[in-house]
Amino acid sequence: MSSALMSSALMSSALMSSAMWSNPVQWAFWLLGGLALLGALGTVTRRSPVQAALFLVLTLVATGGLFLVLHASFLAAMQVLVYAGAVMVLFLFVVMSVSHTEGETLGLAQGTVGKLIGLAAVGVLGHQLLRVCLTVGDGTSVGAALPGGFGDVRSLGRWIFSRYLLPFEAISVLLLVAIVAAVAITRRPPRGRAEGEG
Amino acid sequence: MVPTSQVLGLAALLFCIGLAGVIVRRNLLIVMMSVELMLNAANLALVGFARVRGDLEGQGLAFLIVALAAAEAAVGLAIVVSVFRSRRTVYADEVTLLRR
Amino acid sequence: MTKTFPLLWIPLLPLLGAAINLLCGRVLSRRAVNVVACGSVAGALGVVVFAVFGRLWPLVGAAEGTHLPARLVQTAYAWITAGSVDLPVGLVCDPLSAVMLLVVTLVGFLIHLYSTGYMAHERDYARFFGYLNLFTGAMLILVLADNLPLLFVGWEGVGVCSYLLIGFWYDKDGTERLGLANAMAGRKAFLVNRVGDVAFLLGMLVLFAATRTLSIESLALRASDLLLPLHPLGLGPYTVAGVAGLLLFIGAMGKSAQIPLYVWLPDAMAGPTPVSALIHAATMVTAGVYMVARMNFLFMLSPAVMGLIALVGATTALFAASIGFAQHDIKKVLAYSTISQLGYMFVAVGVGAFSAGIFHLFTHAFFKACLFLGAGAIIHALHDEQDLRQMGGLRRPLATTHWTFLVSTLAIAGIPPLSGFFSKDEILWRAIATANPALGSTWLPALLYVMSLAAALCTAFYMFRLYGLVFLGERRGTAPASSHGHAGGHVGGHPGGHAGGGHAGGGHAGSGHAGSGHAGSGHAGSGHAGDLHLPGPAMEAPLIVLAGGAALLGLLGLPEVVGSWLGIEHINLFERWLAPVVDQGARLADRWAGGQRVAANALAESHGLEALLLLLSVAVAVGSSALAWKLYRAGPSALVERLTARLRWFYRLVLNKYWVDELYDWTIVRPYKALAVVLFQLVDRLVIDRLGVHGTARSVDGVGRVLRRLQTGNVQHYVVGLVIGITALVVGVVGAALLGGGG
Repeated sequence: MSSALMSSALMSSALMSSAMWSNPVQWAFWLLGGLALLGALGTVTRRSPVQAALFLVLTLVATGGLFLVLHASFLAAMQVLVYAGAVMVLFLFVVMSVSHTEGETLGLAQGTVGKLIGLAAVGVLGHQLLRVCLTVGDGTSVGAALPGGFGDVRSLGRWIFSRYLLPFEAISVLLLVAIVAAVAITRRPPRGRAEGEG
Repeated sequence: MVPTSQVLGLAALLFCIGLAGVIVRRNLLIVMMSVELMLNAANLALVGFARVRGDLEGQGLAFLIVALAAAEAAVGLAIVVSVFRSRRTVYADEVTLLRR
Repeated sequence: MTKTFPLLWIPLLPLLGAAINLLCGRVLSRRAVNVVACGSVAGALGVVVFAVFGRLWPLVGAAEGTHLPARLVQTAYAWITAGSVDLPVGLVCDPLSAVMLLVVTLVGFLIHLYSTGYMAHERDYARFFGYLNLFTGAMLILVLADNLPLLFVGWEGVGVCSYLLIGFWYDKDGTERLGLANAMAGRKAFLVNRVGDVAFLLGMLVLFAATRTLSIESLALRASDLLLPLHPLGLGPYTVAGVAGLLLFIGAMGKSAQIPLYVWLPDAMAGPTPVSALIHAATMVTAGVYMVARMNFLFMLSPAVMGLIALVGATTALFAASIGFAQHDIKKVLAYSTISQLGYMFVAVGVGAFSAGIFHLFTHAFFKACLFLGAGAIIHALHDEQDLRQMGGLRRPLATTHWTFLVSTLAIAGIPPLSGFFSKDEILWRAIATANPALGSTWLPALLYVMSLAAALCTAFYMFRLYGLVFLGERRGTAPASSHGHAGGHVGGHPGGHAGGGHAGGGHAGSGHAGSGHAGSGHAGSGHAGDLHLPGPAMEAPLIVLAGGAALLGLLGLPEVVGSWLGIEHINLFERWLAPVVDQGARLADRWAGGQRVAANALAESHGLEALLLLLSVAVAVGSSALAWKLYRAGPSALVERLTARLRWFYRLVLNKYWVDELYDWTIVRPYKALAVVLFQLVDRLVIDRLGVHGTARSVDGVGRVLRRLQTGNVQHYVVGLVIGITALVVGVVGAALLGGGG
């Protein structure tokens, strides 16, 4: 995580240079971003899956807020409805149904070395990504003027149902397949009753 | 007025946290949550790009990714349930049938 | 004068017979095997007779006077076509190959016939005849080939058949002739022949490199290429003809058992006697002589090689003949005699008298085959006894064998007017009246003559020693001598026994005597243990035919001097027949070697000298024969004992064959084996086995042991691998982008 610290140092230096502390949008971004980070860290560090799921919900909602900040109002709604609503409910259902809620010990048995190597790789990757992001983003700002109704249902809907029609239909088929697959996988073999999981 | 670099940096941090979770956590459910986290980070980056460029490409892609994430969650969780049924565990390092 | 004729049938028939007997021999009856084996060779003989007398003969008449040899040809099919090389399976029957074809098919047929009697008790009946047919087919290919690679195919084919047949009794057990020894003899023959064959192959390559062709006819037209200088191994310059000729001659040395590659032939006597007669006397071993005669244009262009051939031949003739003095094994005596006679043939071709060499080959095929078959009959009669010291007094009981053997002995000893006299005398005369310019003006012709005459003397002596020890005197040996009464009874009884199918039928096999049951059902009555096993008609008929040939065929090649007495020109029919082929080289040499050649050796015109030398050789042959007759008439006389005691060192030298086998053993075989052991232990065991084969397996195994730990089956570890890969990619891409873009 040392690289993360370094990155935040980089980031704060970028913040110092932008003399926009008075901007409420900036404040909202910081608040929501901080919440998202907090939720993410909670998700991966909580022992109890239920707690982790709740932290994830925090992140998702915060991200939805960030979407609003970034003028993606329809996506923000989707984020809350689909993710924080449907998907997380599904998660919680499963967490409950597999019922092993006792905390996971941080398995330091076999394979720890591998995981540490993996973490180091993640550190390097994060460092590189941050370098790129901070370099690429230099000079530009997310505050450029936008056409009216940017990111609302109408504009996005028009967009999806014209140019993105085929991917959209494809993703709907994918969803259908996923539903069928989920049912097929979880169905009990011969004598068991088919058990709806959600 | 948010600098692009901040949006992308936040997305990168979220992504890396998710990835770390995928690698470190033994509980398959939390691994799946971490995957959701990563997808979410990608979405954030896309929306950020859409904002910078002033067109809807990024948002459309993010929309599709939300649907994809839902599908992924459905199948993934079904697999977790199925694994749990047969092996009575949700820990990744106890499901090492591939080794044999 | 060239016509086409379906010559392919000639080798094809025996090859088909071989295929049938080798592939289905186990299910065929002995009679069927006989019919296939003898029938296929008889068919080939029929085709040959028709081709030679029906088709070639008129052509020869028509071609008389022109320099074009009469030829029957057939291009069977395209064989090797690569780039500029276009080698068909081309067969040619000209007067030279006609002689060989007749010898191979006629003698071959007779020996097949003989074998049906001789091998009657053999378990692997079909295998024997299959090999014999295969041999005949290969030999016919060798003879008919119109290009060197095809000739080489036949050359190797007869070699492999020789190997197979020498080791035919590879599983025979017994006190003396262990199967292993037989197999070793076959191996020795094969390996010694390899030395020659490699040289032969190299010779072909030299010719090809120089002329871009291997067709014999085309080679004869490329004399200018053949005289190009070469620098083999940085020496030289030698002509292409010289280098190639020497290499081809080394090949002939191996095949025709000349010094120093003769050592395999005596050991080859381990094979069944008909094999010795066919392969190791009449046909295969003469392939070298035939090849030299076939390539006469090449050898005529390099007189030095010709001189070497003559010298090697003369040395071999004398050397082998002297060994013949002291051998105790009847077949060994004949084997050394064969080597010696082959030496004669090389003397002939070496001095440029190709027709004389082929003539001796021709007559030798008859009398030596007859001698071997007679020896086979004796061995057969004595229940596989081959030691001369155990024989004697067989004149009466084996009457037919005795007479034919005597005729052939007289022939080989050179007693007129039998065939051997004429052919051998022709060679002796040509040795001194040589047509070889390299020898012409030196003392070498005289040396050749003296050596050849000495060899003739030895030949007459050891042949009559052999004859005396076998047929004259009283029966010696441990086996009880057969009384005349018994023998007479058997002579009377055997036609019934043999004709009744005792040999051919299942009687022997069924009664369990297949291995050595000579005392089985063929002969009625008791007290067989010490009795003779008399040859049947299938064995005697070939003897008679061959003896007839040995007696009369010499008349085909009467010396010119006799012609001058009788007032007939060109009395040597044989030479006249071969002249269109073998004079090719002489004409070529005339044209290309300019005035070097001694066109007509002054001596060659001297009929007086020829007559004198003729009488001399008669005197030598008769005197030597008479001496041997006197000494061995009643078994080894006291005089012989005293002589051997006096000349003890020489006797032991000859008895032990000059210790050449031991010499080779110490200088070549043992070092080679030691080297083989070193290579086996060091290279094969250590490097290849331990480091190579096992090393590969172990290293793969070791790497696998290490890498297996990566395959934990834990999904998350695979993710780690994925992340590492992605990280590496990102680092690379980002590094490149920042370097290129941002600087």
